Amino acid sequence: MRALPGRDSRALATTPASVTRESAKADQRRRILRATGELVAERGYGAVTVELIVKRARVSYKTFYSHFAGKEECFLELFDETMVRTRAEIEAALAEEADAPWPRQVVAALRALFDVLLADPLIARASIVEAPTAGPSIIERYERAMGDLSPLLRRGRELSPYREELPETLEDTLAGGVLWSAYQRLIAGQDEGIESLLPDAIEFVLRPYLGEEEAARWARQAAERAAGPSRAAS
Amino acid sequence: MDARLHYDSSPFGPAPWRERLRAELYSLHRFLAADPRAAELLLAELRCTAEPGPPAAERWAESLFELIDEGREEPGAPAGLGRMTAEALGGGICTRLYAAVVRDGQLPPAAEVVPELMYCVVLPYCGRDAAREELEIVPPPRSPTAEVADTYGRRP
Repeated sequence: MRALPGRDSRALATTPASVTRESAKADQRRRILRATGELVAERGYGAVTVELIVKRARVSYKTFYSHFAGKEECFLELFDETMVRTRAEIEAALAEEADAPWPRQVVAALRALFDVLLADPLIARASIVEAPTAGPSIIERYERAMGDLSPLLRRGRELSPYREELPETLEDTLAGGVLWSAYQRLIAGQDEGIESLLPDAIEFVLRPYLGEEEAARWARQAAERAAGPSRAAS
Repeated sequence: MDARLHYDSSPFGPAPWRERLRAELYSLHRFLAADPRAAELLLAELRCTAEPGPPAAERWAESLFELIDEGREEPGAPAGLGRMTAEALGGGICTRLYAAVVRDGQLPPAAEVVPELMYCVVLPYCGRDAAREELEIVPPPRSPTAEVADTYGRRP
């Protein structure tokens, strides 16, 4: 016997369709964000238009504007997504090393950061390197994101025998320097160079707190770990 | 950039590395403080370049990195230091100044920010004592040629 079209059956009947619509919409959104990232990385934010985005994403203008008010909102979303993902990776790495000494936590955070950059260099380049050109609305978020590493580094002062002399803005300069070096490689398309940068970056940020030898020791350990057990032993 | 040329062309030969670096940073600070909007654009261009950046900005950055990298020739500088150290230090300086310009709309006073930056740069090459000294060194008096040096390529 066929069920009468009551409220429950309607709900059942529409569930698969609504799931499909939802996933299709999510897929469109992903394609739009991906296309925006690729285009911004290739051409710079200023040269990207909604027309280029819809062509690359293979969606209609109507679809684009059903998701975003315009190019800026779309790029902001891409930037925010990238920052959320980066923070989550760094926090997860720090959680794994919650009881470890501070230098190891710094190593874990830098490794997580570099892993995120390497996982999708094009999107990293678009959302991080190009972001400051995207207008005033992104600058504040950008500066906040760039300062994310500073509090972790600042904790090194508690351990440092040199803490009395360390300049107030040391952490901003160190974090800025590491990010700069990584971004320059993204800009130049030298993605593989980011990985080899890690030991130098570790030594660079630990040196003011721990001194030359101790910082070098942590950097060597990180390099050996990156090389793997067999290569490190040989 | 121009300040460095000025220092290098002294009839008594090149000034010591730390002096040239200090002069460069004070000169850079004066240039950026005089025109925060131009400073923001210059520093943003250096950081974000899908296309190659303006040649003047790239030349300036390269010149700053080269000058910092000369620290490897200082007596007692650790042998393990590479070019990355100079780039990270130069990048850190640019990032720090850019953040100040876009966040606060102006730079902190030169007498405050330059010694701190000098501490960061001198530390890896010359060690802790030299870096500590930099925090105590007062800003140099401006020379009559400073106006030219401050233009960073923009002649008055």
